[in-house]
Amino acid sequence: MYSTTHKLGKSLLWLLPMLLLLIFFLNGGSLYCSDWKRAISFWLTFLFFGTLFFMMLYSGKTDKWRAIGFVTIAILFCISFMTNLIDLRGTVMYSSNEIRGCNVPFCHIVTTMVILPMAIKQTIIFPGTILGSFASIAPMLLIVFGVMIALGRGFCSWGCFYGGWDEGASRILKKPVIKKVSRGLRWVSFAVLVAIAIVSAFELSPVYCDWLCPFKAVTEFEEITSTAVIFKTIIFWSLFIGLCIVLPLLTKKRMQCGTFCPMGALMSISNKINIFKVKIDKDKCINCKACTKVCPTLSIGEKDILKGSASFTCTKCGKCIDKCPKDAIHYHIAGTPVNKGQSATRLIFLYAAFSFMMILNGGSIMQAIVRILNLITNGSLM
Amino acid sequence: MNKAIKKTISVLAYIWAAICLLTVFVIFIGSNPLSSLIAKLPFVKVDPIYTGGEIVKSYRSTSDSLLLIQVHEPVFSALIGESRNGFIQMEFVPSAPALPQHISEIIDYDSDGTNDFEVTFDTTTGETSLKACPSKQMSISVSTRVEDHWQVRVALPNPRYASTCTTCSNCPNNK
Repeated sequence: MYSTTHKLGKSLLWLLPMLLLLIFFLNGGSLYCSDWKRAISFWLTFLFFGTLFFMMLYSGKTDKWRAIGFVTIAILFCISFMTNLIDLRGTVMYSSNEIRGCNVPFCHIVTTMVILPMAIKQTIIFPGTILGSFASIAPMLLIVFGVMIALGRGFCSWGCFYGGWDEGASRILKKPVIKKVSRGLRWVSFAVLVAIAIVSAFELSPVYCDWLCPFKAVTEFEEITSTAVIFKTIIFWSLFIGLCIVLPLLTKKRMQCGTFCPMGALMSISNKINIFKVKIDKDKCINCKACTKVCPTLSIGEKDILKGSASFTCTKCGKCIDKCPKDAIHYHIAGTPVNKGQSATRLIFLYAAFSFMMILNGGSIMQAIVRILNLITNGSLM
Repeated sequence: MNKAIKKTISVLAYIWAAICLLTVFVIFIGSNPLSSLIAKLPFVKVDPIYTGGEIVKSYRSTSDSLLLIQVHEPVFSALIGESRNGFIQMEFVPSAPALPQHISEIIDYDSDGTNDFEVTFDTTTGETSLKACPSKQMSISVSTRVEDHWQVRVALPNPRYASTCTTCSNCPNNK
């Protein structure tokens, strides 16, 4: 009884700063909202994030609650993004007009294609605006490089507003239909990164966005005006259905994020310098391999268990930590003792990762809720 | 390793972790000033292949004073050095709410006193024609409405690699 009350009190105490952060970042520090739709969207988002964070603290489980937030974000982000585009330009399709006027929103994945020309030619090969418009280049670069320092590849399980698609699909079935997925497939994403960085630099065009990005299916895509565009449309829809829906469903792995996404590969490299790690206590480990089976990005293998830490492709989702029957896996701050201060380390990491998730995506969630309320009251999302 | 060194490393690691946590807040709270700083970095500018390059000339059309013509510098963008083929971009910006239906303009893009080409287009159908000296190997690559104005891109070979011009009957100079 004492232990439950103590745990509850401690969880509520650590929840309080997060609630204040939620009020600050979701509504500018005020509890007042100008209209009822905004008020409903604010309070729902506030309760949603508040509950998830409280449950992470109280239950001691990370991944279950993170995944609920992550999948919800992916769906609501797309509703918010697509309706925003319809408001701005009347359609989710972009035409030559948007490209010629340099009005295409810059997404974080584009970073992988602009790096080489930025270094060699000192220009950005993307038809966007540097500052001042919706999803402009400078703020997005700030977020990408900031998160590389703060979370490393943690971004892929805590911040990315696309990752929830394959994560959601990977959680539908209880058991995988395809049980064996080769860990070697992780290197495909690095090959994609190198290939698109080089080809984009020589073509002076973001080729992954143009030809391969599966998330065009749930955001914006090129207006069909030629055979080449029909071909591109078939490619990105096939990749979306294959990598984000069907394969994750059959394998219970995040196949797009773990084996194809060039941003995932770039973030994995940033994991090398990031201070937050996932460690395996070799003394406690009974070698049951539950962690290798559940890891959605194939980031724990037998060698990693022997080494005592997850591979550098780890997205810090916490699934292996939650699954380990002996509590042998935990978040870790590089340079600190392995078996000490585990709760404090988890709390620091959760504050950083959850805050990032909430701040980056809170606005989209609120906007999507307003759109849904519009649909209920006016019969239209607009 | 010495216990004191281990402890120092541990303390530094926790400080660095706290900095990582603060970074999350800083990138959002300081988004506007930090983005402005990033925008000032020399490598943060959109490639001229998309923007059309810097505007080097801006003047009113001789045939229609309500039409502003903006001529960009020629763009021969390549990863290293210059490409063999590039383009020159022009914008036709109306002062009146709508663009005139027919626009025809002679352009001297390099301001050397010699007319380089004549571009004629219909803003309702988008039909565009170019009259230029054949030896300059120019052609229309883009002619489209962009927001409230009309944009034309004329593809041209890089003069570094192109042969010298010989005056002929198609040259707008002979008008």
